Amino acid sequence: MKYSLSIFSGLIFLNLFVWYWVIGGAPDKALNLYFLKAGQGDSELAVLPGGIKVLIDGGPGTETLSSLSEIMPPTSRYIDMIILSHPQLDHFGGLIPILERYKVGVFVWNGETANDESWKDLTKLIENHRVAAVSVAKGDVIRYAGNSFEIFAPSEGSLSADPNDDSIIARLSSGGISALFTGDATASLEQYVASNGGIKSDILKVSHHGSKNSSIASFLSAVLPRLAVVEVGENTYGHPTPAALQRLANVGASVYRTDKDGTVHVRATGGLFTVATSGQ
Amino acid sequence: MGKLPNLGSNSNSKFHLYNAAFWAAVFFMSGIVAASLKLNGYIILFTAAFIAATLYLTNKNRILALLVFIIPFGAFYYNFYAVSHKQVVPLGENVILEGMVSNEPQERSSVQIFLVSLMRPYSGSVEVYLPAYPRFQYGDLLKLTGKVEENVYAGRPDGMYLPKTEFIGGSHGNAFQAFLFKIKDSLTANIDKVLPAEKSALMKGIIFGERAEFTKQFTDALKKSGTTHIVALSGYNVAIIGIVLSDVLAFICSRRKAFWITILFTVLFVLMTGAEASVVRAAIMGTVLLVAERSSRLYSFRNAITLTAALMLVFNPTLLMFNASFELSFAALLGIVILGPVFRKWLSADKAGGFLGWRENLAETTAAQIGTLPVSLTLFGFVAPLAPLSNLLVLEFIPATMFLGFITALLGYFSSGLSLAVGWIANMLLGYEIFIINLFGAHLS
Repeated sequence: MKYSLSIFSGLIFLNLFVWYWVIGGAPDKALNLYFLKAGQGDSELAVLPGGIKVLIDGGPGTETLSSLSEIMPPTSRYIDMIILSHPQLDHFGGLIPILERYKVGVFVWNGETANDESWKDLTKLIENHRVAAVSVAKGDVIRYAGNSFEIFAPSEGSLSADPNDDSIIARLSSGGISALFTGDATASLEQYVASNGGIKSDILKVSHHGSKNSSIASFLSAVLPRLAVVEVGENTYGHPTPAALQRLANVGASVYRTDKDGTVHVRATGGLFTVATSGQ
Repeated sequence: MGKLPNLGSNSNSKFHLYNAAFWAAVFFMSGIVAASLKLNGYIILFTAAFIAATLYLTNKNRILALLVFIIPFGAFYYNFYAVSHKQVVPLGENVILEGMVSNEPQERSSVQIFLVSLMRPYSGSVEVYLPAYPRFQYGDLLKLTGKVEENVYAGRPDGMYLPKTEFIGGSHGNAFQAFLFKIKDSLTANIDKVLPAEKSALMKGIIFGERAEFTKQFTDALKKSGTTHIVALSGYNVAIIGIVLSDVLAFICSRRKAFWITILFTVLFVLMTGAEASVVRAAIMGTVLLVAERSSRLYSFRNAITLTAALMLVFNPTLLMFNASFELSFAALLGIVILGPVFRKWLSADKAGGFLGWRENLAETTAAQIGTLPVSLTLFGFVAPLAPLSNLLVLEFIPATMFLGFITALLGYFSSGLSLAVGWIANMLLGYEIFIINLFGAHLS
């Protein structure tokens, strides 16, 4: 009898806890896209209508984790899908602490491995946590309800000397808008994708942190983005380069950058979208 | 400090053993201070002889006069220690070193930092800075190629920045220690799984003293609000673990058993966090603090503190002059012991506890603040004027936070749902604590 009161109040609390999240945790019906402040590296979170979470790249380190936990409610510990554009540390490093902390449904990547000790850390985690791993190539489509990811690159079996040349280029169509994710796409990859056509998108994740060798004019005019986001942090490469920014301005895109604007949040519903930034 | 011993009396019978022990410890420390200041050995010896002679002639206290010669012994011991622990490693030139990772690597945002204890022909330890990945762990045997650079802070190991690193083999450390680290890692992983990054970082700081994941702004805010000590695994944290554990155990078993189990767990906990010198000190201080809480005998307490300090210095005499955490812990403890009762009387904390015993907390933090004032002023050149207030607002909730943190971590082994539910309460407490720390650390200072 001594403990009955505490057990009773414990159960009451658990009940309230569950109902609070059942009622308060109802997913948004819009598409929420976050270009995360992740330092010098790439990471984007797409929360599809219905609350499905897709993380594209993980940034270089734990900064992604902090940005992510500012967005996801504390009780939400599941990421439905991770897409890794290509196996380079500034894109997958931050996935290691994320995989340690969140349950992940499926890991999608281009099938290439990195000759790097840290890559082993990542693959070990994927194996130990029994995350399904799927490699994709040009022509594949990932669908969920009315949303889809179309894969434009790399072409099947491609194994380039520069891993950037094999970046996954994918277009998300959801909430009546489209967003193109390009990883570290180089000029030649952009050229290839542009020449195949059909890549017009409302929003563009700018290739390779705004490197001068990417974001070529022919590619940008094929995409014709209204909004372009450069994911960049403190770096010695001069990213984003004035040349790339100029070419983006030439096609009339409004440009946001994560080093100045912090996490960039796009909310889209019925073909219209709004942009909010977290600030530095 | 308590009353001076019976110096004026010409009867030696009143010079009790505890007084002798106290003065022996004080003289030993004076010797260490003298040697740390690089005073000439002859000057120390001569001064000691002079003091001894004066004491002998004026007081006729032979034992005390004799004890004065512990001063040169302390100085000798300091130099002996310095020579026998000399770091043998060439500085500033390219070298190839082999050694074992001897602590748990700290994982910062993009780097990891750990100590490598060197193997022949070199000796000592170097602090190695490497990119965050691939991760190394305690017991890994590494071959490092690069330059060792002298650490500008005395008493800290020399550093090696981004050396070329080759992994030779794992599991060369103490198996029991490695096992305890594994337990700690799995506990922290359970915390990480249910708390948002910022909050799990603070929780791990409060429970295990891990500060690696803090952002620079937060570290700054902690410093400016005068609350860094809550994440420093100080005697305070260890004492809370002891108090909470013994209170919980008191429900289950007899008091006596509870006491011993508490001691056992405290020892294991300390080993788990790495048994680094600072934590061992914290454990000893925590125990001393616990004893102090339960018996308020000031006089015997004076001895306990002094002897504890002397004992720690036997293991490492460089602490006294070159280790901020050592100095701060003792300064805080002295403040609490000497000034605490004064403030407590002012606030009548013993009679009216107030909400969650705020008077008690205010009395102790103010006392500790004043105690550490000289040290923090000399070392950091700044004080946190609102520290008593920020501490008052935060400290109230630290025991509950720690308790919930442990429960969250343990529940993680059984049910992620339950762990999440308890973690949610902890999440709110941590949110409040972070708010206060930022408020006082960034906006009000």
